[in-house]
Amino acid sequence: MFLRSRGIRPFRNPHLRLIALVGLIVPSRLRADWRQEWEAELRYREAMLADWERLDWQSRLHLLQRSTGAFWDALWLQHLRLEEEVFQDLRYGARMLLKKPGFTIITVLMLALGIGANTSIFSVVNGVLLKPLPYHAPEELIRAFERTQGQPKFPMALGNFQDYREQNTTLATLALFTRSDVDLTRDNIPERLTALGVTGEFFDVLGAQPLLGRAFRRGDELPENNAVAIFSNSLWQRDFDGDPGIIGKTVNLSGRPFTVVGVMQPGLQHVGGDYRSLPHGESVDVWWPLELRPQAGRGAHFCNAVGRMKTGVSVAQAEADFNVIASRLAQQYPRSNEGWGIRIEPLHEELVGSTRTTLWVLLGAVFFVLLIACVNVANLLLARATAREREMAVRSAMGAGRARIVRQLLTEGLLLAGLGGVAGITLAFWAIRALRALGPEQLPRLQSVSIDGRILLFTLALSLVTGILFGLAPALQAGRINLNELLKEGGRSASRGMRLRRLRDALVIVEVALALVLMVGAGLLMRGFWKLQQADPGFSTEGVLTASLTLPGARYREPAKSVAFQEQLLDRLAALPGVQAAGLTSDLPWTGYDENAGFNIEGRTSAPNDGPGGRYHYSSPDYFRAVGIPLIAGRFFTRADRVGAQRVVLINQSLASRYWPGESAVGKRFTFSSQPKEADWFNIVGVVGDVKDFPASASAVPAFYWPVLQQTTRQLIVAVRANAPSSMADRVRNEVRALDPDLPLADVRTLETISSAAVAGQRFTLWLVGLFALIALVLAAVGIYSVLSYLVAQRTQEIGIRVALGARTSDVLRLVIGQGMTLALGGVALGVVGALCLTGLMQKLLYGLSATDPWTFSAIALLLTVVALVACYLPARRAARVDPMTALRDE
Amino acid sequence: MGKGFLTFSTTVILQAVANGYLYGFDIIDISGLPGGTVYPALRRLEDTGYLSSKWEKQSIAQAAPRPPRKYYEVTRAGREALSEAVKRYRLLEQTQPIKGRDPKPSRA
Repeated sequence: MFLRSRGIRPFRNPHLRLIALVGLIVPSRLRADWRQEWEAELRYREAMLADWERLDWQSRLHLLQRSTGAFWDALWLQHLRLEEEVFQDLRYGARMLLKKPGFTIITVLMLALGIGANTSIFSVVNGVLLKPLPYHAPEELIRAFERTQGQPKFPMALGNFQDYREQNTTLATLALFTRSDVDLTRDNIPERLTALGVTGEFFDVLGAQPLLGRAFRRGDELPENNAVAIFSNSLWQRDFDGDPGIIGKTVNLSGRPFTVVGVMQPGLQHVGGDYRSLPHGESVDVWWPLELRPQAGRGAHFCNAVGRMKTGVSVAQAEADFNVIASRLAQQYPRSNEGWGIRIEPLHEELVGSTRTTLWVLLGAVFFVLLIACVNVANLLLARATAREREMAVRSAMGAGRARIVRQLLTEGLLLAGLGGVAGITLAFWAIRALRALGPEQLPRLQSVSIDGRILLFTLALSLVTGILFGLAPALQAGRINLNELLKEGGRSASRGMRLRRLRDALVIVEVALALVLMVGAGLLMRGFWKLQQADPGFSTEGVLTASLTLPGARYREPAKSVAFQEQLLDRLAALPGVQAAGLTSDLPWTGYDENAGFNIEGRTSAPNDGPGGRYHYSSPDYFRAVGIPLIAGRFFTRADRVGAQRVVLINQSLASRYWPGESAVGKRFTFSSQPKEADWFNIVGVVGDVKDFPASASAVPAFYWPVLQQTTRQLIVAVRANAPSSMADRVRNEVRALDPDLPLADVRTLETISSAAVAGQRFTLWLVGLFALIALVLAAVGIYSVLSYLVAQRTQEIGIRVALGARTSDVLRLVIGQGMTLALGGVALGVVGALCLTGLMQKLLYGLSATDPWTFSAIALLLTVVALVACYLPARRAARVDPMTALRDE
Repeated sequence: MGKGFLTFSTTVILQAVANGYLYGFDIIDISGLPGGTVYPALRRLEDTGYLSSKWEKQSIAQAAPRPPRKYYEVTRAGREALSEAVKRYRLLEQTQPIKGRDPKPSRA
């Protein structure tokens, strides 16, 4: 300690200890003198008063009082901190960066791209995967599915639900929801509302509190209490002007009166799900209670179950508990429940689990871009470090220790990274806006993606790591400079030059390899997407307009009325000018429709819960022609296939080959009753082409079609094939209104829109990865170019000698390009190896393509080589133009 | 604090030094101002160039034993500024007694 060195005995007295303590906040380079000044005064005073032990308490207090003044003194000295080394470094670094604005702008831009892209994608990962769902205690929420041999995740039947609700011990609440839209008519204008039918405790499960009125309760499930409804906040604002007196009012929904008993808080998000549901988000307009009867059916599985576990219960425990109940039910009701169990999954997993692969692939891709940007910046800094060798050498000769020089260069690097980070956040802000607007439906929770504290922290950490990553190498290099050596050799020592060059070469190889991996990924996605587009969808994606309408039960209770409406509508639509075919159906391809039924084939027997089955659709005679589904065998429906005539069906090819392989299915029969009379048999009159569930589905599900004029349904889709489909919308609406003015037409869109939306997810991924790959390619090309430029500048003398000794232009070109291409090809080779290892991770995203597809790999390798060649050519040409006289004269 | 305008308390402190109270704690005693005012003022005055600081001779300190104390002296510029300020603060003309004839501490 300095006191001892100045010959003073160490202190133990409180006033002196206080000085030592306060001294800690004094700027370090002033500390020693400051402490000496105060201690000297205090000890002098102490000595004057007599030694501490002999002082009375008044004098002791006096001394202590004096020493407290030191605190204010130390505070005043704080402003001198700005002259401390750290701030000196920062100011110096800033000045250096401003001196070379071109360099600074390019590097900050590259870093901004890398950091900004990472921040954007991480925000998406954060919003979709990491943020908890917007409900009370979301980790307790689960989805429950009924499960059997061929169906791992099946919706729940009402009858089973009641038993599960009564008998379980692991859930606090369990509820069902199913989609069932309603029409609201006000002032003679009908409007289709998205609606869910829910059981009484639905809002309790979510923990959602109403803004006005009350939520549902069990009592609402009884038929006598059933005519109540709860509005969403947006519906209440939009259609009822936020009327505070809405509670208790009656509204007309699909022809029936409902009493409004509650309005929900704004921002309530639907949980989502695939079957008879709505997308996650604020997608619901109105909720109404499902009617639960004691003898509710156990065969019709059409509801989605969502529940909240009791505190401390695990998903495994809940599933075990439910399966005990399931086996009990299987024994009690073998016909409907034998072989059925329960599967329970956390709600979060159910909602976002499928997006995980895509998001991690995107994050990986964007991280590569950052690495490449770092490598580029490191290379540029190394080049500049070499140019600043003299400056470093002089500084070290003047007394700056090696650590100081390293620290100063590192500070410059961190400053660059910091600027890159700030610019990156700005980029990310705009990018996230774009993502939220253009993001596909398949990516749930996109609306919760935003820049929050966690994202800022992430960006800060990333900038720091980035700065250290690319700043360390040049900083360490610079620290090794020796002034003597430098001035002696007139520039650079051979061994140092070699080491630097090797480092830069290695960096370029790594950079090219990273770019290749990213480009291969993009190439694979591109080819996969192209294959997806090329695959035959089984129907015509162009020239068809569709719309949905639901005939309300109140006015169309008798089937004859419904059939009459449909026939009239078809006649009117077919008569419109420009219409080639008009049809009605229950559903459109690629929209998630999934209604199934089992049947018994004539002449065959099967196990009770394991018999043949298929997806059922309803369609009118011309539907297939309208939508472009081909006829494979037999005939389409005709108007003669109606109520009262013989029952007929059309089946698709998958059904035909599954149950009648190798023979014609036309003419065969099946039925839905277990003891069929003659009238219960359905004749197969034709086989139509397959339509897959989704573009990327492996194969089509076996399915059959009922004639809509015979087995009528009230939920209909209109499909009209016309020359200019989008312009038909108003005319179709007029025809519908002419028949029934209270019937709204909803979801008016062309098949083209639907088919495009069906691949929106893949397209989104492709665009993003493609963008990143393009950035990576440009960065890699810039890297090669800059390294070669530097090389040429270094070897100007040598080249001049060669030219003077007779080398031709082509020789010089070959020399320089040879150097550059060696690096590039090395990078390509390394990249190919890396890509072979890594692309397996994205196999799930590739349709009809292997992750190691040789064509893609070769094409990308070739592309990168050509780009590298171009990047080499420019510096090579500059080298070839070197005038030997000027080259030799320079030094 | 730029050259020119001295506050009242700063003038008091400057005058104290001019009157022979060279050490920090002495200035605190004679001026009645607290240490948290006196010391920052001394630093400011030194920054501006009205005071210069020195460490007392090592030998004197070592005899005690204690670390050498720091003392302040008024520079020529400081004398000019002081006389200006004293004119402004008339009250100061007659306030402080000149310290007794202690020998000036030898410079370190």
